[in-house]
Amino acid sequence: MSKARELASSGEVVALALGPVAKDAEHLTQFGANRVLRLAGGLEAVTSGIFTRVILEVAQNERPDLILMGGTKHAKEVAPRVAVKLNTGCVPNAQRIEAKGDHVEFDHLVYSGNAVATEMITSKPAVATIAPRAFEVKPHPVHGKVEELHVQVPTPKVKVRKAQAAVHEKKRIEDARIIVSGGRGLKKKEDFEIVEKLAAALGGFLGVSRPIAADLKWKSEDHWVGLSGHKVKPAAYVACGISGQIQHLAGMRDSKLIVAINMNEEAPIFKVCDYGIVGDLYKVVPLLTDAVTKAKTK
Amino acid sequence: MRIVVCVKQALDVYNLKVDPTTREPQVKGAALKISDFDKNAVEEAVRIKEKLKTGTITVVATGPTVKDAIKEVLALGADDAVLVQDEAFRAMDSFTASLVLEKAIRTLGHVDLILCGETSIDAYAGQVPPMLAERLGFPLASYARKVVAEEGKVVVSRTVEEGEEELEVPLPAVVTVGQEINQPRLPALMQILQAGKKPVKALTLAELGVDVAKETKVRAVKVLSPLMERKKVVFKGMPEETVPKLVEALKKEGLF
Repeated sequence: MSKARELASSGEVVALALGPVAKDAEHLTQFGANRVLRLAGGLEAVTSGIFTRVILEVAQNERPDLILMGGTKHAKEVAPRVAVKLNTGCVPNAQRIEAKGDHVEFDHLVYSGNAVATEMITSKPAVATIAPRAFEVKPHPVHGKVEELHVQVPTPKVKVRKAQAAVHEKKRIEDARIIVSGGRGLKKKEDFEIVEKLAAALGGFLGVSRPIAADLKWKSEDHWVGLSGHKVKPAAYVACGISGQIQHLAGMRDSKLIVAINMNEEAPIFKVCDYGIVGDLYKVVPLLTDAVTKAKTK
Repeated sequence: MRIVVCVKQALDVYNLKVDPTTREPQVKGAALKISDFDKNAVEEAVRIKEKLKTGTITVVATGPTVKDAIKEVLALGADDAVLVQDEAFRAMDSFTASLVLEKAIRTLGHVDLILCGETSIDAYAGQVPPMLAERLGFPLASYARKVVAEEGKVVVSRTVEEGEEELEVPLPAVVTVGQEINQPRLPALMQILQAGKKPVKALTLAELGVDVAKETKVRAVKVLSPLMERKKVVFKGMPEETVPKLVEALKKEGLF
Protein backbone atom coordinates (compact mmCIF):
# COMPACT_ATOMS: atom_id res chain seq x y z
CA MET A 1 0.00 0.00 0.00
CA SER A 2 2.71 2.46 1.00
CA LYS A 3 4.74 1.88 -2.17
CA ALA A 4 1.62 2.18 -4.32
CA ARG A 5 0.73 5.47 -2.60
CA GLU A 6 4.22 6.84 -3.23
CA LEU A 7 4.27 5.75 -6.90
CA ALA A 8 0.75 7.04 -7.59
CA SER A 9 1.85 10.51 -6.46
CA SER A 10 -1.33 12.58 -6.84
CA GLY A 11 -3.05 9.76 -8.73
CA GLU A 12 -5.51 7.25 -7.40
CA VAL A 13 -4.73 4.11 -5.40
CA VAL A 14 -7.41 1.44 -5.41
CA ALA A 15 -7.08 -1.32 -2.82
CA LEU A 16 -8.66 -4.66 -3.54
CA ALA A 17 -9.58 -6.42 -0.30
CA LEU A 18 -10.45 -10.01 -1.14
CA GLY A 19 -9.18 -12.22 1.64
CA PRO A 20 -9.66 -11.88 5.41
CA VAL A 21 -8.48 -8.25 5.06
CA ALA A 22 -11.97 -7.43 3.67
CA LYS A 23 -13.29 -7.34 7.25
CA ASP A 24 -11.05 -4.38 8.02
CA ALA A 25 -11.27 -2.67 4.64
CA GLU A 26 -11.67 0.80 6.15
CA HIS A 27 -8.21 0.52 7.67
CA LEU A 28 -6.59 0.63 4.20
CA THR A 29 -7.61 4.28 3.78
CA GLN A 30 -5.11 5.01 6.58
CA PHE A 31 -2.37 3.90 4.18
CA GLY A 32 -3.42 5.95 1.20
CA ALA A 33 -6.22 3.99 -0.49
CA ASN A 34 -8.57 6.43 -2.23
CA ARG A 35 -11.00 3.59 -2.79
CA VAL A 36 -11.18 0.18 -1.21
CA LEU A 37 -13.05 -2.45 -3.17
CA ARG A 38 -14.42 -5.18 -0.98
CA LEU A 39 -16.00 -8.38 -2.11
CA ALA A 40 -19.46 -8.65 -0.59
CA GLY A 41 -19.56 -11.84 1.42
CA GLY A 42 -15.84 -12.47 1.04
CA LEU A 43 -14.33 -15.39 -0.79
CA GLU A 44 -15.14 -18.89 0.34
CA ALA A 45 -12.57 -20.89 -1.55
CA VAL A 46 -9.19 -19.23 -1.72
CA THR A 47 -7.74 -20.63 -4.93
CA SER A 48 -5.51 -18.85 -7.42
CA GLY A 49 -8.06 -19.36 -10.17
CA ILE A 50 -10.77 -17.47 -8.28
CA PHE A 51 -8.45 -14.64 -7.27
CA THR A 52 -7.35 -14.37 -10.89
CA ARG A 53 -10.91 -14.10 -12.22
CA VAL A 54 -11.92 -11.42 -9.68
CA ILE A 55 -8.75 -9.35 -10.21
CA LEU A 56 -9.14 -9.57 -13.98
CA GLU A 57 -12.67 -8.25 -13.80
CA VAL A 58 -11.63 -5.35 -11.58
CA ALA A 59 -8.62 -4.60 -13.82
CA GLN A 60 -10.84 -4.44 -16.88
CA ASN A 61 -13.10 -1.90 -15.17
CA GLU A 62 -10.42 0.17 -13.46
CA ARG A 63 -7.71 0.15 -16.18
CA PRO A 64 -4.77 0.64 -13.77
CA ASP A 65 -1.19 1.46 -14.80
CA LEU A 66 0.27 -0.84 -12.17
CA ILE A 67 -0.99 -3.86 -10.23
CA LEU A 68 0.94 -4.81 -7.06
CA MET A 69 0.49 -7.87 -4.88
CA GLY A 70 2.27 -9.04 -1.72
CA GLY A 71 4.92 -11.71 -2.28
CA THR A 72 3.00 -14.66 -0.85
CA LYS A 73 2.91 -18.07 -2.49
CA HIS A 74 -0.74 -17.55 -3.44
CA ALA A 75 0.03 -14.16 -5.01
CA LYS A 76 2.91 -15.67 -6.98
CA GLU A 77 0.39 -18.00 -8.58
CA VAL A 78 -2.09 -15.21 -9.24
CA ALA A 79 0.06 -12.32 -10.55
CA PRO A 80 1.50 -14.16 -13.61
CA ARG A 81 -1.96 -15.48 -14.50
CA VAL A 82 -3.44 -11.98 -14.34
CA ALA A 83 -0.56 -10.58 -16.42
CA VAL A 84 -0.76 -13.12 -19.21
CA LYS A 85 -4.53 -12.63 -19.54
CA LEU A 86 -4.05 -8.83 -19.70
CA ASN A 87 -1.34 -9.33 -22.35
CA THR A 88 1.28 -7.64 -20.21
CA GLY A 89 4.51 -8.28 -18.30
CA CYS A 90 5.00 -9.41 -14.73
CA VAL A 91 7.97 -9.23 -12.35
CA PRO A 92 8.32 -11.41 -9.23
CA ASN A 93 9.60 -10.28 -5.81
CA ALA A 94 10.27 -6.66 -6.73
CA GLN A 95 12.61 -4.98 -4.23
CA ARG A 96 12.69 -1.62 -6.04
CA ILE A 97 9.94 -0.08 -8.15
CA GLU A 98 10.28 3.19 -10.02
CA ALA A 99 7.84 4.90 -12.36
CA LYS A 100 9.80 6.20 -15.36
CA GLY A 101 7.42 8.14 -17.57
CA ASP A 102 6.12 5.61 -20.08
CA HIS A 103 7.38 2.53 -18.28
CA VAL A 104 7.96 1.04 -14.85
CA GLU A 105 11.36 -0.22 -13.71
CA PHE A 106 11.86 -3.03 -11.21
CA ASP A 107 14.77 -4.68 -9.38
CA HIS A 108 14.53 -8.31 -8.35
CA LEU A 109 16.87 -11.19 -7.59
CA VAL A 110 17.85 -13.62 -10.34
CA TYR A 111 20.36 -16.48 -10.81
CA SER A 112 19.16 -18.17 -7.60
CA GLY A 113 19.91 -14.98 -5.70
CA ASN A 114 23.36 -14.47 -7.23
CA ALA A 115 22.48 -11.22 -8.99
CA VAL A 116 20.01 -8.36 -9.10
CA ALA A 117 18.25 -7.74 -12.41
CA THR A 118 16.88 -4.36 -13.34
CA GLU A 119 14.02 -4.80 -15.77
CA MET A 120 11.35 -2.67 -17.32
CA ILE A 121 7.77 -3.28 -18.33
CA THR A 122 6.47 -1.02 -21.09
CA SER A 123 3.09 -2.71 -21.49
CA LYS A 124 0.14 -1.70 -19.30
CA PRO A 125 -0.72 -2.50 -16.62
CA ALA A 126 2.68 -3.52 -15.26
CA VAL A 127 2.15 -6.39 -12.79
CA ALA A 128 4.45 -7.31 -9.90
CA THR A 129 4.60 -9.15 -6.63
CA ILE A 130 6.76 -7.43 -4.03
CA ALA A 131 9.53 -8.95 -1.93
CA PRO A 132 8.56 -9.29 1.73
CA ARG A 133 9.56 -6.20 3.72
CA ALA A 134 11.13 -4.51 0.72
CA PHE A 135 9.22 -1.30 1.31
CA GLU A 136 8.58 0.67 4.45
CA VAL A 137 5.02 0.87 5.75
CA LYS A 138 4.09 4.54 6.07
CA PRO A 139 0.73 5.74 7.43
CA HIS A 140 -0.89 8.11 4.95
CA PRO A 141 -4.50 8.81 5.94
CA VAL A 142 -6.81 9.90 3.13
CA HIS A 143 -10.55 10.37 2.92
CA GLY A 144 -11.04 7.13 1.07
CA LYS A 145 -14.26 5.23 0.66
CA VAL A 146 -15.11 1.57 0.84
CA GLU A 147 -17.15 0.18 -2.05
CA GLU A 148 -18.81 -3.19 -2.35
CA LEU A 149 -17.64 -5.14 -5.34
CA HIS A 150 -20.30 -6.89 -7.37
CA VAL A 151 -18.63 -9.53 -9.47
CA GLN A 152 -19.77 -12.97 -10.41
CA VAL A 153 -17.46 -15.37 -8.56
CA PRO A 154 -17.23 -18.55 -10.62
CA THR A 155 -17.18 -22.05 -9.09
CA PRO A 156 -13.56 -22.95 -8.42
CA LYS A 157 -12.05 -25.79 -10.47
CA VAL A 158 -9.59 -26.64 -7.72
CA LYS A 159 -11.16 -27.91 -4.50
CA VAL A 160 -9.43 -27.34 -1.17
CA ARG A 161 -9.89 -30.74 0.48
CA LYS A 162 -8.03 -29.97 3.66
CA ALA A 163 -6.44 -26.83 5.04
CA GLN A 164 -4.55 -26.97 8.27
CA ALA A 165 -3.68 -23.52 9.56
CA ALA A 166 -0.04 -23.07 10.45
CA VAL A 167 0.86 -22.25 14.03
CA HIS A 168 3.42 -19.48 13.65
CA GLU A 169 6.23 -18.46 15.98
CA LYS A 170 5.39 -15.35 18.00
CA LYS A 171 8.56 -13.62 16.89
CA ARG A 172 9.51 -13.29 13.24
CA ILE A 173 12.97 -14.29 12.11
CA GLU A 174 13.29 -11.05 10.10
CA ASP A 175 13.15 -9.09 13.37
CA ALA A 176 15.91 -11.04 15.12
CA ARG A 177 19.14 -9.17 15.88
CA ILE A 178 21.10 -12.42 16.00
CA ILE A 179 20.33 -15.64 14.13
CA VAL A 180 22.01 -18.99 14.82
CA SER A 181 21.27 -21.49 12.07
CA GLY A 182 21.71 -25.22 11.69
CA GLY A 183 21.86 -27.30 8.53
CA ARG A 184 22.56 -30.77 7.33
CA GLY A 185 25.68 -30.98 9.47
CA LEU A 186 23.24 -31.96 12.24
CA LYS A 187 22.55 -35.66 12.00
CA LYS A 188 19.20 -35.87 13.77
CA LYS A 189 16.32 -33.69 14.89
CA GLU A 190 17.23 -33.92 18.59
CA ASP A 191 20.73 -32.59 17.86
CA PHE A 192 19.24 -29.18 17.12
CA GLU A 193 19.36 -28.65 20.85
CA ILE A 194 23.09 -27.93 20.42
CA VAL A 195 22.37 -25.04 18.06
CA GLU A 196 19.36 -23.86 20.06
CA LYS A 197 21.53 -23.56 23.17
CA LEU A 198 23.99 -21.31 21.33
CA ALA A 199 21.07 -19.24 20.03
CA ALA A 200 19.77 -18.89 23.59
CA ALA A 201 23.21 -17.92 24.92
CA LEU A 202 23.52 -15.20 22.27
CA GLY A 203 19.90 -14.10 22.68
CA GLY A 204 19.25 -15.09 19.09
CA PHE A 205 16.61 -16.77 16.95
CA LEU A 206 16.97 -20.25 15.46
CA GLY A 207 17.40 -20.46 11.69
CA VAL A 208 17.59 -23.51 9.42
CA SER A 209 18.53 -24.32 5.83
CA ARG A 210 16.15 -25.65 3.19
CA PRO A 211 16.62 -29.40 3.82
CA ILE A 212 15.76 -29.02 7.51
CA ALA A 213 12.52 -27.08 6.94
CA ALA A 214 11.36 -28.39 3.58
CA ASP A 215 12.68 -31.94 3.16
CA LEU A 216 13.05 -33.23 6.70
CA LYS A 217 10.50 -30.86 8.30
CA TRP A 218 12.46 -30.93 11.58
CA LYS A 219 11.64 -27.24 12.10
CA SER A 220 8.80 -25.08 10.76
CA GLU A 221 9.19 -22.83 7.75
CA ASP A 222 9.22 -19.86 10.15
CA HIS A 223 12.90 -20.75 10.68
CA TRP A 224 13.82 -21.31 7.03
CA VAL A 225 16.48 -18.88 5.79
CA GLY A 226 16.98 -18.72 2.03
CA LEU A 227 15.66 -17.50 -1.25
CA SER A 228 12.47 -19.56 -0.96
CA GLY A 229 12.34 -19.16 2.82
CA HIS A 230 12.96 -15.94 4.73
CA LYS A 231 15.41 -13.26 3.67
CA VAL A 232 17.17 -11.91 6.76
CA LYS A 233 19.72 -9.25 7.61
CA PRO A 234 20.58 -9.56 11.31
CA ALA A 235 23.53 -7.93 13.07
CA ALA A 236 25.09 -11.40 13.23
CA TYR A 237 24.37 -14.65 11.45
CA VAL A 238 25.99 -17.83 12.78
CA ALA A 239 25.81 -20.80 10.38
CA CYS A 240 26.45 -24.21 11.98
CA GLY A 241 26.83 -27.17 9.66
CA ILE A 242 25.52 -25.24 6.65
CA SER A 243 27.57 -25.69 3.47
CA GLY A 244 26.25 -22.51 1.84
CA GLN A 245 24.14 -23.35 -1.22
CA ILE A 246 23.67 -20.17 -3.25
CA GLN A 247 19.94 -20.07 -2.47
CA HIS A 248 20.80 -20.08 1.25
CA LEU A 249 23.45 -17.36 0.82
CA ALA A 250 20.88 -15.23 -0.99
CA GLY A 251 18.74 -15.32 2.13
CA MET A 252 21.43 -14.12 4.55
CA ARG A 253 24.06 -12.31 2.52
CA ASP A 254 23.01 -8.89 3.82
CA SER A 255 23.78 -9.85 7.44
CA LYS A 256 26.16 -7.41 9.09
CA LEU A 257 28.45 -10.16 10.40
CA ILE A 258 28.60 -13.75 9.18
CA VAL A 259 30.13 -16.58 11.24
CA ALA A 260 30.51 -20.12 9.88
CA ILE A 261 31.23 -23.42 11.60
CA ASN A 262 31.70 -26.35 9.27
CA MET A 263 33.66 -29.61 9.00
CA ASN A 264 34.48 -29.11 5.35
CA GLU A 265 37.18 -26.53 4.72
CA GLU A 266 36.04 -26.27 1.09
CA ALA A 267 32.41 -25.41 1.98
CA PRO A 268 31.24 -22.28 0.07
CA ILE A 269 30.07 -20.72 3.34
CA PHE A 270 33.72 -19.95 4.20
CA LYS A 271 33.98 -17.73 1.12
CA VAL A 272 31.25 -15.42 2.40
CA CYS A 273 31.96 -15.40 6.14
CA ASP A 274 33.73 -12.84 8.33
CA TYR A 275 34.85 -15.44 10.86
CA GLY A 276 34.85 -19.19 10.64
CA ILE A 277 35.94 -22.33 12.37
CA VAL A 278 36.80 -25.48 10.45
CA GLY A 279 35.75 -28.23 12.81
CA ASP A 280 33.14 -30.62 14.13
CA LEU A 281 30.11 -28.59 15.16
CA TYR A 282 29.26 -31.23 17.79
CA LYS A 283 32.43 -30.18 19.60
CA VAL A 284 32.79 -26.55 18.54
CA VAL A 285 29.25 -25.30 19.20
CA PRO A 286 28.94 -26.51 22.84
CA LEU A 287 32.36 -24.99 23.62
CA LEU A 288 31.32 -21.76 21.96
CA THR A 289 28.04 -21.76 23.93
CA ASP A 290 29.95 -22.15 27.21
CA ALA A 291 32.42 -19.42 26.28
CA VAL A 292 29.63 -17.01 25.30
CA THR A 293 27.70 -17.74 28.51
CA LYS A 294 30.84 -17.11 30.59
CA ALA A 295 31.73 -13.93 28.73
CA LYS A 296 28.21 -12.59 29.19
CA THR A 297 28.02 -13.30 32.93
CA LYS A 298 31.33 -11.58 33.61
CA MET B 1 -2.49 -40.85 -18.57
CA ARG B 2 -0.57 -38.55 -20.88
CA ILE B 3 1.92 -36.57 -18.85
CA VAL B 4 3.92 -33.64 -20.21
CA VAL B 5 6.97 -32.37 -18.33
CA CYS B 6 8.31 -28.90 -19.13
CA VAL B 7 12.08 -28.75 -18.93
CA LYS B 8 14.34 -25.72 -19.19
CA GLN B 9 17.98 -25.68 -20.09
CA ALA B 10 19.07 -22.86 -17.80
CA LEU B 11 22.23 -20.92 -17.02
CA ASP B 12 24.42 -22.93 -14.68
CA VAL B 13 24.24 -20.37 -11.88
CA TYR B 14 26.43 -22.52 -9.64
CA ASN B 15 29.37 -21.93 -11.95
CA LEU B 16 28.66 -18.38 -13.05
CA LYS B 17 31.70 -16.08 -13.15
CA VAL B 18 31.35 -12.46 -12.14
CA ASP B 19 33.56 -9.69 -13.54
CA PRO B 20 35.06 -8.20 -10.35
CA THR B 21 35.29 -4.66 -11.75
CA THR B 22 31.91 -4.29 -13.46
CA ARG B 23 30.12 -6.81 -11.16
CA GLU B 24 28.42 -8.16 -14.27
CA PRO B 25 27.82 -11.92 -14.37
CA GLN B 26 29.52 -13.39 -17.45
CA VAL B 27 26.42 -14.77 -19.14
CA LYS B 28 27.75 -14.92 -22.68
CA GLY B 29 29.10 -18.40 -23.34
CA ALA B 30 28.38 -19.44 -19.73
CA ALA B 31 27.74 -23.11 -19.04
CA LEU B 32 24.17 -24.38 -19.18
CA LYS B 33 22.43 -27.14 -17.28
CA ILE B 34 18.98 -28.67 -16.95
CA SER B 35 17.23 -26.69 -14.22
CA ASP B 36 17.30 -28.74 -10.99
CA PHE B 37 13.59 -28.63 -10.14
CA ASP B 38 12.69 -29.83 -13.65
CA LYS B 39 14.45 -33.11 -12.93
CA ASN B 40 12.21 -33.50 -9.87
CA ALA B 41 9.24 -32.97 -12.21
CA VAL B 42 10.48 -35.71 -14.58
CA GLU B 43 11.09 -38.04 -11.65
CA GLU B 44 7.57 -37.41 -10.32
CA ALA B 45 6.08 -38.14 -13.75
CA VAL B 46 7.98 -41.43 -13.87
CA ARG B 47 6.76 -42.37 -10.38
CA ILE B 48 3.14 -41.60 -11.30
CA LYS B 49 3.46 -43.71 -14.44
CA GLU B 50 5.05 -46.58 -12.50
CA LYS B 51 2.25 -46.50 -9.96
CA LEU B 52 -0.52 -46.41 -12.57
CA LYS B 53 1.34 -49.01 -14.68
CA THR B 54 0.19 -47.14 -17.78
CA GLY B 55 0.65 -43.82 -19.56
CA THR B 56 3.20 -41.88 -21.56
CA ILE B 57 5.61 -39.12 -20.57
CA THR B 58 6.55 -36.47 -23.11
CA VAL B 59 9.20 -33.92 -22.26
CA VAL B 60 8.84 -30.47 -23.78
CA ALA B 61 12.28 -28.92 -23.48
CA THR B 62 13.58 -25.47 -24.37
CA GLY B 63 17.06 -23.96 -24.38
CA PRO B 64 19.97 -22.62 -26.43
CA THR B 65 21.64 -26.05 -26.90
CA VAL B 66 18.91 -28.32 -25.58
CA LYS B 67 19.46 -30.93 -28.33
CA ASP B 68 22.72 -31.87 -26.63
CA ALA B 69 21.14 -32.04 -23.18
CA ILE B 70 17.94 -33.98 -23.87
CA LYS B 71 19.45 -37.48 -23.55
CA GLU B 72 20.11 -36.86 -19.87
CA VAL B 73 16.41 -36.06 -19.35
CA LEU B 74 15.12 -38.99 -21.42
CA ALA B 75 17.38 -41.35 -19.46
CA LEU B 76 15.41 -40.45 -16.32
CA GLY B 77 12.46 -42.35 -17.78
CA ALA B 78 10.51 -40.09 -20.19
CA ASP B 79 9.21 -41.73 -23.37
CA ASP B 80 9.79 -39.04 -25.96
CA ALA B 81 10.61 -35.35 -26.32
CA VAL B 82 9.69 -32.21 -28.18
CA LEU B 83 12.51 -29.68 -28.37
CA VAL B 84 12.63 -26.01 -29.14
CA GLN B 85 16.25 -24.93 -29.47
CA ASP B 86 17.09 -21.25 -29.89
CA GLU B 87 19.68 -18.77 -28.60
CA ALA B 88 16.74 -16.50 -27.68
CA PHE B 89 16.11 -18.73 -24.63
CA ARG B 90 19.20 -17.24 -22.95
CA ALA B 91 17.17 -14.15 -22.08
CA MET B 92 13.48 -14.80 -22.67
CA ASP B 93 10.78 -13.33 -20.44
CA SER B 94 8.15 -15.55 -18.80
CA PHE B 95 5.40 -14.18 -21.03
CA THR B 96 7.16 -15.38 -24.19
CA ALA B 97 8.50 -18.62 -22.72
CA SER B 98 5.00 -19.63 -21.58
CA LEU B 99 3.70 -18.89 -25.08
CA VAL B 100 6.35 -21.16 -26.64
CA LEU B 101 5.39 -23.97 -24.24
CA GLU B 102 1.68 -23.48 -24.87
CA LYS B 103 2.15 -23.74 -28.62
CA ALA B 104 4.49 -26.72 -28.38
CA ILE B 105 2.08 -28.55 -26.03
CA ARG B 106 -0.85 -27.84 -28.35
CA THR B 107 0.94 -29.82 -31.11
CA LEU B 108 0.64 -32.93 -28.88
CA GLY B 109 -3.13 -33.20 -28.89
CA HIS B 110 -4.79 -34.38 -25.67
CA VAL B 111 -2.73 -34.15 -22.48
CA ASP B 112 -3.83 -34.95 -18.91
CA LEU B 113 -1.17 -33.56 -16.63
CA ILE B 114 1.58 -30.98 -17.12
CA LEU B 115 4.35 -31.13 -14.54
CA CYS B 116 6.88 -28.29 -14.13
CA GLY B 117 9.63 -27.40 -11.68
CA GLU B 118 8.26 -24.69 -9.37
CA THR B 119 10.96 -22.28 -10.49
CA SER B 120 14.13 -22.27 -12.62
CA ILE B 121 17.62 -21.97 -11.17
CA ASP B 122 18.47 -18.95 -13.34
CA ALA B 123 15.43 -16.66 -13.54
CA TYR B 124 14.08 -17.97 -10.22
CA ALA B 125 10.77 -16.32 -11.08
CA GLY B 126 8.32 -19.24 -11.04
CA GLN B 127 6.08 -17.37 -13.46
CA VAL B 128 6.02 -19.68 -16.46
CA PRO B 129 3.83 -22.46 -14.98
CA PRO B 130 1.01 -20.11 -13.83
CA MET B 131 1.13 -18.31 -17.18
CA LEU B 132 1.05 -21.64 -19.03
CA ALA B 133 -1.96 -22.80 -17.00
CA GLU B 134 -3.79 -19.58 -17.80
CA ARG B 135 -2.96 -19.79 -21.51
CA LEU B 136 -4.24 -23.37 -21.69
CA GLY B 137 -7.23 -22.67 -19.45
CA PHE B 138 -6.09 -25.44 -17.05
CA PRO B 139 -6.32 -25.33 -13.26
CA LEU B 140 -3.03 -24.85 -11.40
CA ALA B 141 -1.52 -26.28 -8.22
CA SER B 142 1.99 -25.05 -7.37
CA TYR B 143 4.62 -26.09 -4.81
CA ALA B 144 3.50 -29.75 -4.63
CA ARG B 145 5.17 -31.84 -1.94
CA LYS B 146 3.10 -34.88 -2.86
CA VAL B 147 1.06 -35.75 -5.95
CA VAL B 148 -1.40 -38.66 -6.01
CA ALA B 149 -3.19 -39.50 -9.25
CA GLU B 150 -6.83 -40.51 -8.90
CA GLU B 151 -9.59 -41.02 -11.46
CA GLY B 152 -9.76 -37.82 -13.52
CA LYS B 153 -7.86 -35.77 -10.95
CA VAL B 154 -4.69 -35.38 -8.92
CA VAL B 155 -4.49 -34.67 -5.21
CA VAL B 156 -1.72 -32.22 -4.36
CA SER B 157 -0.31 -31.61 -0.88
CA ARG B 158 1.59 -28.38 -0.35
CA THR B 159 2.71 -25.85 2.25
CA VAL B 160 1.83 -22.16 1.89
CA GLU B 161 2.22 -19.31 4.40
CA GLU B 162 -1.25 -20.01 5.77
CA GLY B 163 -0.44 -23.66 6.49
CA GLU B 164 -0.77 -27.09 4.91
CA GLU B 165 -3.20 -27.55 2.03
CA GLU B 166 -4.53 -30.58 0.22
CA LEU B 167 -5.94 -29.67 -3.17
CA GLU B 168 -8.12 -31.73 -5.46
CA VAL B 169 -7.27 -30.72 -9.01
CA PRO B 170 -9.38 -31.91 -11.96
CA LEU B 171 -7.44 -32.94 -15.07
CA PRO B 172 -6.12 -31.62 -17.36
CA ALA B 173 -4.04 -29.50 -15.00
CA VAL B 174 -0.66 -27.83 -14.44
CA VAL B 175 1.19 -28.91 -11.28
CA THR B 176 4.58 -27.58 -10.14
CA VAL B 177 6.93 -29.44 -7.83
CA GLY B 178 9.78 -28.44 -5.54
CA GLN B 179 13.00 -30.21 -4.66
CA GLU B 180 11.44 -31.86 -1.60
CA ILE B 181 9.04 -34.05 -3.54
CA ASN B 182 11.56 -36.70 -4.54
CA GLN B 183 15.17 -37.58 -5.23
CA PRO B 184 15.66 -37.90 -9.01
CA ARG B 185 17.14 -41.29 -9.85
CA LEU B 186 20.59 -41.75 -11.32
CA PRO B 187 20.01 -43.51 -14.63
CA ALA B 188 21.79 -46.83 -15.21
CA LEU B 189 23.99 -47.29 -18.25
CA MET B 190 21.21 -49.27 -19.96
CA GLN B 191 18.78 -46.36 -19.59
CA ILE B 192 21.34 -43.91 -20.93
CA LEU B 193 21.91 -46.11 -23.97
CA GLN B 194 18.16 -46.51 -24.56
CA ALA B 195 17.62 -42.75 -24.20
CA GLY B 196 19.53 -42.20 -27.44
CA LYS B 197 16.91 -44.23 -29.32
CA LYS B 198 13.82 -42.47 -27.96
CA PRO B 199 11.84 -40.29 -30.42
CA VAL B 200 12.81 -36.60 -30.37
CA LYS B 201 10.95 -34.01 -32.41
CA ALA B 202 12.53 -30.61 -32.98
CA LEU B 203 10.37 -27.54 -33.50
CA THR B 204 11.52 -24.01 -34.23
CA LEU B 205 10.16 -20.73 -32.91
CA ALA B 206 9.20 -19.87 -36.48
CA GLU B 207 7.24 -23.11 -36.86
CA LEU B 208 5.41 -22.34 -33.63
CA GLY B 209 4.70 -18.82 -34.87
CA VAL B 210 6.41 -17.07 -31.96
CA ASP B 211 8.04 -13.73 -32.75
CA VAL B 212 10.19 -13.16 -29.66
CA ALA B 213 10.82 -9.45 -30.22
CA LYS B 214 7.11 -8.83 -30.66
CA GLU B 215 5.95 -10.88 -27.68
CA THR B 216 8.52 -9.72 -25.08
CA LYS B 217 6.91 -7.68 -22.32
CA VAL B 218 9.73 -7.49 -19.74
CA ARG B 219 13.05 -6.14 -20.96
CA ALA B 220 16.37 -6.34 -19.13
CA VAL B 221 18.05 -3.04 -18.28
CA LYS B 222 21.03 -4.53 -16.44
CA VAL B 223 22.09 -7.44 -14.23
CA LEU B 224 24.62 -6.96 -11.43
CA SER B 225 26.01 -9.31 -8.80
CA PRO B 226 26.15 -8.01 -5.24
CA LEU B 227 29.49 -7.17 -3.70
CA MET B 228 30.58 -9.69 -1.10
CA GLU B 229 33.31 -8.06 0.92
CA ARG B 230 33.95 -10.21 3.94
CA LYS B 231 36.85 -10.62 6.31
CA LYS B 232 37.12 -14.38 5.76
CA VAL B 233 39.14 -15.05 8.90
CA VAL B 234 38.93 -18.82 9.25
CA PHE B 235 40.41 -20.61 12.29
CA LYS B 236 41.66 -24.17 11.94
CA GLY B 237 42.85 -26.58 14.58
CA MET B 238 41.58 -28.15 17.80
CA PRO B 239 38.27 -26.69 19.05
CA GLU B 240 39.99 -25.84 22.37
CA GLU B 241 42.19 -23.42 20.40
CA THR B 242 39.84 -22.15 17.72
CA VAL B 243 36.80 -21.38 19.90
CA PRO B 244 38.62 -18.85 22.18
CA LYS B 245 39.97 -17.10 19.07
CA LEU B 246 36.48 -16.80 17.64
CA VAL B 247 35.08 -15.58 20.97
CA GLU B 248 37.79 -12.87 21.09
CA ALA B 249 36.94 -11.78 17.54
CA LEU B 250 33.21 -11.66 18.26
CA LYS B 251 33.81 -9.62 21.40
CA LYS B 252 35.78 -7.10 19.37
CA GLU B 253 32.88 -6.93 16.93
CA GLY B 254 30.71 -5.97 19.88
CA LEU B 255 28.47 -9.01 19.66
CA PHE B 256 28.49 -9.51 23.45
